[in-house]
Parts: sequence; C-alpha cells; structure tokens
Amino acid sequence: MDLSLNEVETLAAKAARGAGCSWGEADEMGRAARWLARSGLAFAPMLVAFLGVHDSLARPRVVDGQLTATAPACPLATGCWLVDEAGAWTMVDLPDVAFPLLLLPFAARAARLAGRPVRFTSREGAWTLTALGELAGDEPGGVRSEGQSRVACTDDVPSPARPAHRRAALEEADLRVLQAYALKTCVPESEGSRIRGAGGGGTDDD
Amino acid sequence: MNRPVPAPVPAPTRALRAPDEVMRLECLGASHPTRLSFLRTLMRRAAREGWRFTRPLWEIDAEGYGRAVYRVDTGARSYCLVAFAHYLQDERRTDRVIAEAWDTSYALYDGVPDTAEIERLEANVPRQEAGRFTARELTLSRANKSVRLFDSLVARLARGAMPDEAAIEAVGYLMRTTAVYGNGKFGIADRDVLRDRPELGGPFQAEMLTVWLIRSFTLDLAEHCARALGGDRAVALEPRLRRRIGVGNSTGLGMAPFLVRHPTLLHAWIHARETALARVRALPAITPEDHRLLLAAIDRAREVAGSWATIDAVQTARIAGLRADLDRLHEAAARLDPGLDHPCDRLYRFACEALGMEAREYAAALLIEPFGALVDDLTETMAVDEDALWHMGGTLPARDLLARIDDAYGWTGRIDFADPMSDARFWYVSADKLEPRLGERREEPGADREQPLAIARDVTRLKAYLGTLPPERTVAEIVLERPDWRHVIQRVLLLSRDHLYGEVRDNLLSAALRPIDLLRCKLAFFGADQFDPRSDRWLRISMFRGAPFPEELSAGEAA
Repeated sequence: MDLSLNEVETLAAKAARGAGCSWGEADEMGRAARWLARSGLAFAPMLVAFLGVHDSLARPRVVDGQLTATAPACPLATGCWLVDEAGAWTMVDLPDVAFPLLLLPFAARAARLAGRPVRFTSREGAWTLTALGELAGDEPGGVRSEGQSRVACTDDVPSPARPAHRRAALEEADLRVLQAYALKTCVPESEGSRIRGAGGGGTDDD
Repeated sequence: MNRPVPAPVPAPTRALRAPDEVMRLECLGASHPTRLSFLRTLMRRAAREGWRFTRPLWEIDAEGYGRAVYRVDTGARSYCLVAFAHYLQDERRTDRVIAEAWDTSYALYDGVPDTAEIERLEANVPRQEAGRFTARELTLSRANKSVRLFDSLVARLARGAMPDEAAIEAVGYLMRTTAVYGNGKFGIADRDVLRDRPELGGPFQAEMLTVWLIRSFTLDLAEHCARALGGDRAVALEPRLRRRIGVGNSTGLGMAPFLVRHPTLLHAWIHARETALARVRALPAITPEDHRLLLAAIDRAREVAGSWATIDAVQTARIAGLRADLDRLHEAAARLDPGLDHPCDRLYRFACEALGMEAREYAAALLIEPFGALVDDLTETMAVDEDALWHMGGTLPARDLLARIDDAYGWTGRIDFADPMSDARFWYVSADKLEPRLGERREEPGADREQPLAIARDVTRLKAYLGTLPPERTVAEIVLERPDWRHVIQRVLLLSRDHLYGEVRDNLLSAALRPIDLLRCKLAFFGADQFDPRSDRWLRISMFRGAPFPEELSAGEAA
C-alpha cells in the first residue's frame, strides 16, 4: 500500500507506543520513520523487526562522558541521545546498536541542529548527512546487522542530497503488523462509551 | 538551530495581553472570528490576486444526484473541487463520525482532473474514510443537508416564491460539513506539498477553499432542484438572501486534541491576534473614517448576535448578555473622540471594565477590523514549521528546568490534583473509529491507554520528580534514564522558551471541563461564527455566512 508521509509518521509513532515505547520516544520514532521514507529507505521491515525485540534491547548509559551499553543497544534511545546532545559532540563512538540504520534519521537531525554535515560509519559502510539534515550520495544497503558505529561531524562538502520521496510503499504484511501495534494505543468501546465519550446521543439529523 | 526568522514587524508600544489571561479556557471559549481568521485571509488573497472561478462540469439529474466540478485558477496553479451528490435514506443521515454515507461528498483536486480521474474519485470520495486516495487530492470532505431548510427552500423556489427569510436566518445554511480532512489523511497529499505555494501555504487554506466552494455547490444544487421541480415557474434565490446562506459544520471531540498537540501553531495564531490588538490599542488617534468603520463593524456584530440561536442553556444566557453588551459597546464607541488619547485602547478598557467575557473578546476582534493595513501582514506569521522547532537541548541542568517550570507553568499550582475531581476525566482514542474521546477515569476502563494530553498533571508530577534529582543532572541524562518524561520535558523546554501562548492554562482532566471551549477557539481562527453547542463535547457552527461568493469577489468586498 502507498502511504502519505503523514500516515507514515502517525503509524510509526502509534506502533512504537503500542509496542511499549514512551510517548516521547514514540513521537521520535514517527519523525524518524518519516525521514527514512522521505529519503526513499524502506523503514517498515526495519521498524517491524525493531519493535519485535525492542523490550530486550539495552538502554545505553553515559559513563565518564562515554555512551556505553551491554550490546545490543536500543537504536531509538541511542538516536534520541545523539539529537539531545547535538552541537555538544563532534565525534561519538557508539556501542553495538541493533538496526543501526535506524540511527540515520537522528544523525541527520543532529547535523541540521549543529549546522554541520555528519558522517555516519558502521561496518557495512558510511553515509553523509548534509547540514540541512538530508541524506547525501548513494543509497545505503540493507544494514541490519549489529556492530559498532561512529558518528562524527565533518568539514567535507557532501554530495548533493537525494531527491525527496513523497510517498512510501509498504508491504501488506508489514502494514498489518504496525497497525496491530498501533491499535494497542486505542480503547475498545461499548455503545455506552461511544455515546458518552463523544457527547452524542441527541438529535443530529435535522 | 534552524528556526524560521520572523519578518520584522513594527513593535507595538503597548504590551500584549498576558498568557495567564488569554490562555484560560473561559477566554478561549469566548473566541470570535477576526480579520486574521483563515477564511478571511483566503478571500482577501483571492480578490487581490484576481483568482478566476468557473464550473466546467455539471452533471446533476432531476432528483439532484450526480457530479460537478468547480475550478479555480489562481494564476500560478489550478485547483478543482470535485463534488458528488448521492441519494441518502433519512435514517442514515447523521453528523456523527460513525456515519458511513452522506448526501454529498467532495475532494479538492490539485490541478484539473480528466474523465478517468473523476471516475477514480467517484469510486472513492463517496466512501470517505473507507476509500483510498492519492497525492492529487488536497482535502476530502462531506456534507449533509439541513433537512429543516433544504427541502422547504427548494419547494418555495420551485413555486416561484422566495423562501421564508426567518427560516434562512434560523438555520443559516443548506448543508453541514461533518469533516474536512487534510494533511495526508487516508492517502491524500501531505501538507508539505502546499508549504511552498503562497496561494494555499497558510494554515488551513486548502480546507477553507474547499468549504467556500462547497457553499457555492449547495446553492447551485438547491436552485437546480427547484428548476427540475417547478420548470418555468421556478425562480433563482435573490442575491441578498443567497448571501445569508453559509455552510454549516458539526464538530466534535476529534478537533480538541489538535490545539494541545500543535502548541507552536497555537502560539503563532494567538500571538498574531494579540499583536494585532496591541498595535491597534497603541494608535494615539484614528481617522473619522476608521471610526465609522469601527461603528459599522459593531453594527454587523449586533446583527450576528441578533440571529445567533442555540439550544445550549449556558450559551443562550451568554448571547443574551452579549446583545445588551454590544449595544453598550456601540454607545461607548459612538461617544469616542477618534482624535484623542488612544481611542481604541480606551474602548478596549471600557469592554474589560463594563462588559462580559463574550463581549470583551468580541470587542477585541472588532477593534482590529478597520485596520487591515496595520495588521494583515500578521497572517504571514500564522504558519509554522513545527518540525524545525522540535528540539530539546539536552545540556540544560535539572535546576534550570525547574526554574523554567516555575516561570511558564506557575499556573499549574492553582490545581489540586489530590482532589479526585481534578483528574476525573481521561482522553483516549477509540479503537472503533480511531477518534479522540473523553472518558470518566473512575467509571470506565481504558485509563491505562490515556493520551498524553494531561499537561498540567504531568508537569506537576515532573516538578516533584525533578526535586529528587541532583540539580546538575542534565536533561539528556534524565530522559536517557527515564524516557517516560521525554514528552513532558520536551514540551516544557519548547514552550517556556518563546511560545508562551502555546499552552492552554487550565486543567484538561477536570470534571468541570467543557471541551467545546477548545473547539470554539480553533473554529474562531477558521472564521466560524454562530457557535451552537449541542452538548459539552460537540457543536455546530456556520462559515462564510454573509460573505461574497467567489464569482462576486471584488477587492473591496473581501477586504
């Protein structure tokens, strides 16, 4: 199915919340998914896999100014930290992070906030995020394996940003999984709550 | 950080009204439309830029069913309202979001649709939420007939008579929209598409264009049905009466969380309105012509108040007070010496001292009416790149965060959350229709899935938690360890910095909450009037009543 970017953001945020993420991090997941979709990257299979294991991933901690975790670490928590500390770091060696490609949108936002390009390097390759927070150069491959990575500000001039996508194509199976997570944020209703909760019940057909 | 740089504006010499005053629900719930409202902005632009309106397709049968296309050429681009009218059994006609069929349905199309596109729309638009849409559709909407007025008006016109003027005044519209969807819903275009198009880039401009064109369709449809029924005897509606017909709208809780979830946008809207009022109050003198325009605006407001009808007891009493207050406002305005000592400020202070909240807020709206040249530029500040503003700044220590809370959220101290009445309600989303609802915390299940709209309660709890931390602990460290505070901290940091009109300064969980106060605030920014609460959770309004039709536009009329 072909989704608008707003549907991508809303669905990803609700699914993350339904899977047990906090409201704040669920919102960040929504923004990250939108960025991935706009950059033409398949966010949905990654998000499905991440939400399936996110309970078992380690939250990183700051020890002596260094981000550490018992591997594998949560990419959402790690990504949020990169953004929250944007401008305060020029290079960070990250612990082993599950689904490291999920860090890209956060590295991109950190680049935009710092007003400097950022280079993201993992075992599978390297990508550059422009100072406007866009993905430069070639399409990354399917980075799924864990492994240490590094984000660093760079003074290299990045290649032009990839053209922005306006829609995202989702496999039906991924869509169903994400919708099922999202539904866990909703309250099943009775006829009583339907009438009372919405304040209806009076005449409204005149 | 990347933040849009606001255009330079002349600084008013008078301070803006304080957030503690205007962000209370009592005040927001007395909002009135102003010349900065979104439908006014749209009509001014259309007049100024000479937009051209045509109706290239009209395939409606004698029963009033079929399809039509209304086209607008703005110069830079073309847009089309594609309208469908259907047979609807009376028992299926409901304004509630649970409806599955409507009298009419609409899409605002980006460009000019060919036959294949119109057929695609015809297969989806009448199904609304159950259909699927593309980036060519900018909005999606539907409307039901006002059974009270539509059929009687058609019958009178068919007999060659004008409709009962009192009936028109009592209802005010032929159809009520029950939803106008935008921004990517059900697959339609994202708002991003419009951001760089000046003609529709402002807040809700595509939605306003949709409703304006729906108004034309409802009148064309009624006159068409009258001709089909009465043949040569049928007459068209007199232009004067035509003008008195707007578009109705039924709005429920679905709209209420919007203002809480888009605080930087809410700030921009209120800040623009308050800046306009401050500029006008700062005028040392006004011209006799502006004085005349002000009196005329108050006179029109008296007409609006005179025909304002509602079944709601609270609002009925307010309207009665408003009518008397507007008479007093008119007297006071007539006595003003326009050349002396800040006349607008004096009139505003009179309203504060002598009139009720409805009239005071109406006065605040009416005072800016004659001064388009002074305030209309503020509409350019009412769109916000919310994403660009979304940043927390993690290096701030807990001590400073606490100071920000004391500074910007001191008002939460008014609320005693130990009192069960203070958190009697909870906001949730229904699984059935995916719509926001309000539940009773101690009577209904579902509070474990509460939506994050409990701002006052959560900030109060955050403050207590921060008190247990070392004051040097940074925000980034706090939320890394306790992600459940992230959304609250992010909000406090964003709004306490420079978006003080972004927070509704009342308790949204209170047993005493009237959610319609939130709805009315948003609807007034759209340009709606004739607010008619049908319960504490939904209301009817009308839009474009008394406004010119697109084909009648002239710069003077729309200004």
